[in-house]
Amino acid sequence: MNTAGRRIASVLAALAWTIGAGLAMAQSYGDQDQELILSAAGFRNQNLSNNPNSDGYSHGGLFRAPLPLPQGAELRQLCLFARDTASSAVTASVVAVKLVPGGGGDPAILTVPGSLVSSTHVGYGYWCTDQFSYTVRDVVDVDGDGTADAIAYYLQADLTESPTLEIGGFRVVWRRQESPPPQSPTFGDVPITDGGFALIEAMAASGITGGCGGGNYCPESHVTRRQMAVFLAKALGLHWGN
Amino acid sequence: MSTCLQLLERRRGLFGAAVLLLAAASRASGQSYGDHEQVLTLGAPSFAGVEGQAALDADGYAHGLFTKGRTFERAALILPEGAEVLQLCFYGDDRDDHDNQSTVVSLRAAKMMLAGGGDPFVLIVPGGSVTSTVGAGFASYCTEPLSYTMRSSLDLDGDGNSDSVAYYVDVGLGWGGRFGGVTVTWKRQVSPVPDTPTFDDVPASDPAFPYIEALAASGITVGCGGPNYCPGAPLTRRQMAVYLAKALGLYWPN
Repeated sequence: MNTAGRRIASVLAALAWTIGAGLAMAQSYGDQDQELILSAAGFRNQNLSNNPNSDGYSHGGLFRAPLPLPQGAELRQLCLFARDTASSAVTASVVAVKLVPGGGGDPAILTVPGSLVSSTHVGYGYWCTDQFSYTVRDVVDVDGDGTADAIAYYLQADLTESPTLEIGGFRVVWRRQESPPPQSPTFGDVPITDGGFALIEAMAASGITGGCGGGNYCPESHVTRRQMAVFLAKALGLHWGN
Repeated sequence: MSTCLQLLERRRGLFGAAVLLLAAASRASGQSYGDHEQVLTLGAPSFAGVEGQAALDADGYAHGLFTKGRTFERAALILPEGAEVLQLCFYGDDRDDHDNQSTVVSLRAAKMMLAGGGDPFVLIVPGGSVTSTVGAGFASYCTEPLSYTMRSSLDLDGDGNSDSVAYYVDVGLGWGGRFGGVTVTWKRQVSPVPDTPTFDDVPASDPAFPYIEALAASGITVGCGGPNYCPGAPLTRRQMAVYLAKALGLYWPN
């Protein structure tokens, strides 16, 4: 067998970690569900007194942590870990906050649809939203004024009415998505009906490929080692040594 | 669509040639991709005070609390699933006149507690902790090299149940000390193989077995139809586009 062929998967596999066959397990690349666990240490109390306890839990206030997911990531589920010594309400959500430019009006804050979880409990608790689908974008018209806004996403736990409640962290289930294709094909030989249309368009839009010349992509041509090097080095931004 | 993809993947071959090129291109440390070592720096502003909030100086160094013997600061450590942590180094500065204030740096894994859970469980990662006496002035010190694979889900407390796990770096700063940050040396790893091969034509004895299994488990490939992957077949440009776009979640313009 072709040795190079056997190594087909090596490059991407080096980037894609997963646990055997477990679908619920996490990997960094690919389009399967994966999870991000953020502890209270990653959160900042909006009241500027971010004081996690030595066990990692944090007391009352409005806590936010940046949600560092790639453009186009699909948010699937949000879970909050917390504990309460009494019994009080807590709400958790993903919020999209408009970054207001000069002369802008009020900051607009959008609670991402489907992400809100609310509960009351004593002791340790773990609450999850229903499964939902929200695509993270860097630029969204959050306030509906017809203009795209630069957006920051935060995980938010609102403990302002819950002085006895402490957060431990969040579990965020998400996955990568391929981007929606353009309405007009970029390459003459990759029409919308092509099975690889959306994915080839994604490569072109990312600047990874300019096609094979003459407005074509040559989808049936084989990849040479030279071309492969160009594709990978461009796709991954290789290589920046120290 | 899955039928299309299977058709698309029927032939592939030279794709793997890039392995050698990638290996050649990533000998030095510090890259974002590939499986070589790289360094993540958690500067002092990344840390939140556990006991008091340190004040940041203009030079980026953070003061400890002078009213206590020690200040605890904590930063979330966010690395991809399967990242291997290789070493932690601490950068500090003892500004008072007293030498030998001990500072402890440790990598910790914290169990996220479920309802009815017992006490919180925080594991100090074996080898991921170093205690040192920082003399007057700037200093740095590192743990011995270690090998710890970060997982977002594992049985941390050994009770037979899988836990969601968060990672963070703790700094227990000696009296009078300042800290500039912690560097974390780490690298990506390819996932461990399943017990049973997914594809009939890629047995466990195949040199690329772990890589092909990792691709399949990540949803990047479903093989070439039937129970096979066709490892020796050449790869078309269309097929390669499918691989890359699916793997990287390309491409979402603003």
